[in-house]
Amino acid sequence: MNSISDLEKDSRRRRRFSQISDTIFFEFQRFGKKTGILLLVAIAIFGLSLAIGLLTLDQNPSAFSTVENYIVNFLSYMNMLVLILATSYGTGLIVVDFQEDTGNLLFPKISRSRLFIGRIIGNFLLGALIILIYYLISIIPVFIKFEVLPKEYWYSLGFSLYYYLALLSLAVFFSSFVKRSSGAVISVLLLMIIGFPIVYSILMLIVEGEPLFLLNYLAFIITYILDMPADRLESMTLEGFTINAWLTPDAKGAAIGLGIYTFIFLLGAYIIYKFRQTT
Amino acid sequence: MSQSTDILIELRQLSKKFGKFTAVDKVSLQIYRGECIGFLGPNGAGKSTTMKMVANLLRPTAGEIWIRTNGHLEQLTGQNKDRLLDNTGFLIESPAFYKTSTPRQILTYFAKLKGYPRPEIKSRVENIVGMIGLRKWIDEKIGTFSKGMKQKIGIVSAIVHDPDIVILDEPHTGLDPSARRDVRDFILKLREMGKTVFLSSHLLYEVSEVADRIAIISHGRIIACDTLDNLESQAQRSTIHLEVLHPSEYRESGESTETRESQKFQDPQDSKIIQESQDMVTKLYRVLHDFIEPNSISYHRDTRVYQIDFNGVPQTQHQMLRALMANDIMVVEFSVPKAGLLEALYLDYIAKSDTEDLEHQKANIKVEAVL
Repeated sequence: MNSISDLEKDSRRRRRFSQISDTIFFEFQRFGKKTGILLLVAIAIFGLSLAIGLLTLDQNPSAFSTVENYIVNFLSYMNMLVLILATSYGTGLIVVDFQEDTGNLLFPKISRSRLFIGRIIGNFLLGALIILIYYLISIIPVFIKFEVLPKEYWYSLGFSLYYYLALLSLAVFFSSFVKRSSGAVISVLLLMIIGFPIVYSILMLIVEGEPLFLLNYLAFIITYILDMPADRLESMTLEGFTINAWLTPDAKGAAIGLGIYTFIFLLGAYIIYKFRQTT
Repeated sequence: MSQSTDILIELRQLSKKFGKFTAVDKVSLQIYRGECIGFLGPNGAGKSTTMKMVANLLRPTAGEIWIRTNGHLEQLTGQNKDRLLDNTGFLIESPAFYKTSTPRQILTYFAKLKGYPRPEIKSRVENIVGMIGLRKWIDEKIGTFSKGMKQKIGIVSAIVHDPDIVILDEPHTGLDPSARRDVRDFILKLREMGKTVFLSSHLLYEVSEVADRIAIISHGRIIACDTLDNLESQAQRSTIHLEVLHPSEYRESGESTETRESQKFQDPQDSKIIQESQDMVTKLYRVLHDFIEPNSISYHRDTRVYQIDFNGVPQTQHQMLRALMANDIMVVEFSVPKAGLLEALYLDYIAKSDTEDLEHQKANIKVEAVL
């Protein structure tokens, strides 16, 4: 009995890892074309940033006095790119099998937990690849102009990837209970473009506390890590109102905040997915 | 029949409830190595629910599923499902695929998931796609496929890892006659390959053509399970399809087909055939009265077939044929169509089950009223 049990455990362990890696590879195949299109979007954003930078320099040759300022020019649309990537890869991740009835084909070939893990990793890697390529091509103009690359550039890359993971988790969470992927896309976009910014604006007026629970606020670290301000809170009084504008979280706060977002939404998505019935 | 005595799958008192509704009610079934068992029942009878429980997609409310592995039967649990179900291929309902994927990508992925030897996956995928005649479509996107083609890929996906047991839930649903024939041929091919096939359908003809045994399920209960021959003897009824040459047709057989076809739709000819068929029914009663009940012969004008109900015993069938020949009736066709027979048996069993169910409900209402 022991030998069968050991054999089973060993087989299950090996199968667990191979099924996850096979799922990752399959995701790469499935989304090859989509990744190509998103890469073109990323290159277009880079081109736009480059064009803006060149125009600014043309009008004001001393516009980018430091290398950090010049890099920020290229990273100013990074939040938008990450949002596009997360909604593209995350919103269909779970709902697709219910929407298209593809779940009946997958099970019982693979368990939901392995499929979930494989897909999360696969889709994270695809988005991460595009972000990495963006950062790599952005080095070229920076290096041409300043011949130096600050190490904070790589920290920024790290936070972009981390922010992408958190936003992907949010998108996957919505994907776990909506009926169609379009529902998840709309929910994520509404939350990120309207919901969080409105809350942030209101909080500026009523509290002094740092809004570490707002995902869009955590994303500010991507550019501010390059040149962290000495005072992250800017307070100003305007017609009797005190406005507390938090510029950016610090690195530790951002790391913890993004980590909590990732954990909560991935766990929530997994639990809902685990108990969601196929039709 | 290629059936041997060892059981590959055994369902023991399997039940599934959704709230107060009992979808599957104490189903017990044994599936033997190498056989093809047809699982018949009306929509909502519990076929898919039973199959989903075997696939471990639904957890039974009660009962057990035993699957043979390494020579002995083991109860299916959450712990051993990977190992036990490795030898089983499933097609649950109509397959839906990722539209942008190709058959090669999907089938390779499935073969890997099920642990098929990696160096052999490429040739395996090409071979089985070739078996269903879609070799040239292997690298095309599935989104461009017809429903029939998708269904074939779905069936192939169930056997890509070369399992001994293949479970197909309604594989013919929504297919046109040509695609249905292809699927039927493929199931026959699986049987030839020695696979054990557990096939659910509500299409009687498709089941009757491929199944060794038939289990009929109604209201979640198995109400009959046996070979078609045995079901027929149990029911003590069967139907013969008889086609004969009428005297006028016999006389006219020297004329050209064209002449006869042109006369076929003319009224005088029609009425002549009606008269001849009535005479033939009378004659058939006279010849076969020892073997059949009164009013058991009917004539179908469209197909020009006489349908004769009898007790289903093969000896009787043989004696009836001899009697017809002895009385110079020009027999063109004398057969017991399986699908027709199965339909009659199926309707009998379902009707009986519905009546029992109704009586059971009435009894319950009475008991509740008394209480």
